[in-house]
Amino acid sequence: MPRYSLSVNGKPQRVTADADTPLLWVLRDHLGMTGTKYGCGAGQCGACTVQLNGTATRSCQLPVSAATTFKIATIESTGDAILDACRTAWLEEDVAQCGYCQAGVIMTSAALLRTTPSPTDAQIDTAITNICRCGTYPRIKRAIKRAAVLAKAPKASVGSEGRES
Amino acid sequence: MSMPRQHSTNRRDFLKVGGAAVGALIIGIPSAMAAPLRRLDENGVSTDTPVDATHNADDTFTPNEFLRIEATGAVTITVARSEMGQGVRTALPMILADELGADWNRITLVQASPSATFKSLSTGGSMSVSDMYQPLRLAGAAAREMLVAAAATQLAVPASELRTKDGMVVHSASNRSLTFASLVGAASKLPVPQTPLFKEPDEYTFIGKAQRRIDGPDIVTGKARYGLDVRVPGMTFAAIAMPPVQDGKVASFNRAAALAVVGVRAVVELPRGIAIVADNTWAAFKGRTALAVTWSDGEHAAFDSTQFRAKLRATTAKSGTIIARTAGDADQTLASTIATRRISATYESPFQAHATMEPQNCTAHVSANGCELWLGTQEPGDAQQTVARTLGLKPEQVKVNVTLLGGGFGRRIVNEYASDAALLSKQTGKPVQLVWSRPDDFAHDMYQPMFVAKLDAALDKYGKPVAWRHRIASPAVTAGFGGVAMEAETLGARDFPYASPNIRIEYTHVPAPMAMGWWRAIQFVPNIFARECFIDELAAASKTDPLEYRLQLLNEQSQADFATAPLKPGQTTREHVSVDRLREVLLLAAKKAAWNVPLAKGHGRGIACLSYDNRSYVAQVADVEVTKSGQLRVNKITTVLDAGLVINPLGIVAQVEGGIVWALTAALYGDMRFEKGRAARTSFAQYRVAAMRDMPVMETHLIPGKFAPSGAGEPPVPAVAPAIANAIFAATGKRVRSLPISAASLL
Repeated sequence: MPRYSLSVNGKPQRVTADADTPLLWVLRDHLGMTGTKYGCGAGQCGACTVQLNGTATRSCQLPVSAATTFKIATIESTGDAILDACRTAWLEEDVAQCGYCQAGVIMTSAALLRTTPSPTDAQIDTAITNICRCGTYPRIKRAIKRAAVLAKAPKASVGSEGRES
Repeated sequence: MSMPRQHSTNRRDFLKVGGAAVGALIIGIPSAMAAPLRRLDENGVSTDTPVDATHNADDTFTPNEFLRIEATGAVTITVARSEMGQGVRTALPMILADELGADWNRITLVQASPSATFKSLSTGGSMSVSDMYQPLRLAGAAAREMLVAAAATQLAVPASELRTKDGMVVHSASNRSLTFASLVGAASKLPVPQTPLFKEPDEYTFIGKAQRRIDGPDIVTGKARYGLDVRVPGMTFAAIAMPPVQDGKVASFNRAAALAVVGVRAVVELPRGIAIVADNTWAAFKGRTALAVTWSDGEHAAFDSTQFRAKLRATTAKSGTIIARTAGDADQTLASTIATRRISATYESPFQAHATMEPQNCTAHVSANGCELWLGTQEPGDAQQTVARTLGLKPEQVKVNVTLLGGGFGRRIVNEYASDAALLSKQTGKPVQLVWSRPDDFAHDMYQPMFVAKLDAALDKYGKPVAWRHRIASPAVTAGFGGVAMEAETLGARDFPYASPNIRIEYTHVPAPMAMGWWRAIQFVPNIFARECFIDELAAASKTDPLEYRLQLLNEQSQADFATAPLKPGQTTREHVSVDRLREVLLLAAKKAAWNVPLAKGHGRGIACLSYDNRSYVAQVADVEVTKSGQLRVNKITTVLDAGLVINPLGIVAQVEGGIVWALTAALYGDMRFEKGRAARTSFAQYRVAAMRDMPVMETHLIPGKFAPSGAGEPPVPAVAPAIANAIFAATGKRVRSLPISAASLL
C-alpha cells in the first residue's frame, strides 16, 4: 500500500493507505483524529469539512493521494486567531445542540471569515450549506457575526462578554 | 432475513421502563470556555467513577445515586438521561446543583449505564426534565440538609441560620463559612432525610437562569465523543449490506471479491445482512461494494408509497376501526345537516426519515466476561437486554457505555444494529465498530408514518361546529411495538380542545412493510396539521377571524365529555386540555406577532396551537410571503411556549428554534418515497432538509412557569406547518392540505 506525507494542523504525518481513501477516513481511522465527522460521504452535508490552505473543503470527497500538497487544518487545530474567534463566539451564542455537525460548520465559517471578514446575511446563507438537523442555523448566523467582530477586536476583549437569553 | 419488528411495549411505557461521559478538560479560552469537567482516557472514554450510593467511605459523601462529594470538595453528578442535543447534560445537573448550592465550575458529570441502580435511562417523549425534576431536587436538597446539619454542629449555630452557596455552607450573621470539602466526613455519617425542604423559587441560583451547554467547549475543539468516535485498542470497522426491501433475502454475493479488497478481514453472514469486517471504515465500505450482493426481494417488492397513499385515502372514506373519542353523535349530526353547512377536507402527510447527522452505529467488544457496548442510544436498557438475548448472556454481563448522540429525534430509541455489532465481535474475537452509511441510514430508518385524515364538520347558523369528525389512517408506529396503545396514533386529534356537542375521532391502522418509529413529536405533527388547518377552514366559512374563532370555542364546555369518559387502553391520565393555558399562549402569540396589523399584498399570517400531551402548551404565528410565481418564503415564526417551570431558558429557546427547523423540513421538503419496495431517497441530495437559507426570523416567548417542568423538545414542532398553511391561505386564498407544501399548490 502507498505511503503519503501529510501536513495536518502544522504537524507532518505519514500514513499508509489506499490511494482512493478519502482524507476523512485517513484523519479518523488512520490518525485517530475523530473531530472531523462522517455525515454523508457524498459532499452534501458538510460535517467532514476541513480547511486546505485555509479553504473549506469536504474531506469525504478528497482522496488522500490528492491531499499531500496542502496544509490541512481540522477542528483540533490550535493557534488560529479566526478559528479561536469562532470557538468563542460559538460558546457565547451557545450554538451547539447535539454538536455533531458543528466541527464542519465552524471550519466552514472560519474559512468564510478569512475571505469575507464582515459577511452579510446573504453571504452567510450562500457559504453555509452545511446541514444541521438539530436546527442551530439561527445561532450559527449570530455566532458568525459575533466571530467577525471578535476576530477584528484586540485580543483582550475576546471572550469577555456573555449573552443574555 | 428479516428485521425484528416486534417490540414489547408502547413508547410511553417503553420510555418509562426502560456510560461513558465524553469530553475533556479545557484550559485556556476564558469565560465561555469554563465548564464542568470530565476526565477521559486517550480513547475518549470516561475515567470517572460512577456514583455508588451503597459505598459511603469516610473520605466521600454519597447520599444517593445522583451525587458524590469528595474530600477535595469536587462534586460528581450522575446524568441518567442521554444527551442528543436537547441539553439534558446541562439542565439536569442544574436542578441538583441548585438545591445543593454547588459551585457550577467544580462539577464533574458521570453518564449513567444501565444497572440495578439505574433501571430506566429512557430518553424521549420530551420527558427527561419533567421525569427527573423531582428525583434530582430531592437528591440535592437531602444532601444540602446533611451538609447544613454537619455545619450547624461545627459552628454551634441553628441549622435554620445556614444556607449553601458556591460549594460552601454560609452563616451570614457571623460572616463564617465552611466548604463542602470540610464537611464531607461529618455529613456522610448522618441519616439521609427523606422529606427535605426544597428551595423557594426566589432562592434559585441556577434554575431559570441561562446556562451554556456543558459540552460546548468539547464540541468546538473536536474533543466531544459520539458513538462513531469511540476508539478501543485492537478494534476493527464493519459495514453491513442489508436487503433494500423489507424481509428480502440474499440471492448471491461475491465473498472472494470482498476479501480481495485491501484491509478487508472477514465476510460474516448475519441475520440482518452480510457484514464486512475491515481495518478501517473505508475498506469496509469498499468491501461491501465488492460483495455485489443481489437480493431476492420477496413479497414486498411491489410496495409503492403513491399507491399506499391512495389506499389510506380509500380507508378514510369508511368509518375507522378504533373510536378514540366520541361525544354526542357526530355521524348522525353530519348526516342530518344540509350540505351548505357541511365542510369536508382531506389532509395528507408523507413518510419521513430521521436523518440524524450521525448515522447509526455501535461499537461492541465481546470477551470471556461478557460484552461491552459503546453507542449513542436513547434506550441503554433496551440495547443491553437485546444484546444479552442475542448473545445468551445475562443483562448484567453487558456493559453499556452511553456516548453523546449525534442526533436522536426518536431514531435511537431502537438500536437494532447493536446486536449485529456484538455478533461480529463475538465471531471475530475483536472489538468491532459497525457503521451504517448515509444511504443505509435512509434506507433502513424506522420512518415517521404517512398519514391521511378526512375531516368533516357541520356548522350551526352562527358558524360554530355542531359536529366534528376526524378520521385518520396510517401505518401505526405502535403496531411495531406490541400494538397495545394504537390510540396514541390519534394524539393531537383526540384531544381536540374546541367546543362541539358532537365529536368523533377515528383511527384505522393500515400496515406498511417497513418499520415505523418514534419521531420528533410523532403523531402530533400530522394530526395537529389536519386539526389546526381544518379549524381555520371553519373560521373562514363562518367569516370569523381565525384567532377569534379559536378563542370562542375554547371554553369549559369543550372539555365536558372528558370528565366522564372511561380511560382508554394504554391511557394513564384523563386527557383534559387546559383551555386557560391554551388561550393564554394564543393571546400572547397573537399580541407578539402583531396579529391585527395588516400585511402587504402577497403576505399572510396564520396561527395554530396545541397542548402537548396536556403538559406543555404552544401557540405559533407564521408570517409568509407568496410571490406571483408561487415562491413561498416563511419570513417569521413567533412562538409562545408554556412548558411549566423553565430550568434553562437558553436551552429551551434552543429547543424551540430546533423544533421550528425540524418542522420546516417537514412542511417544505421532508418526503420519503418508496418505489419497488425500496426507499427511493437515500441521500441528502434526494431527501432535502431545511438549510440556512430557509430560516425565518424566530421570536420565542416563554410563559413563566406556574407548573412543574413539562417538556420542550417536541411541543414546538406540530403547530408550525399548520400556521404556515393558514398563513398561505391568508396571503393567497389557497388551502394547502398536503405536506410537503408544493409550488404547484400555491399557483
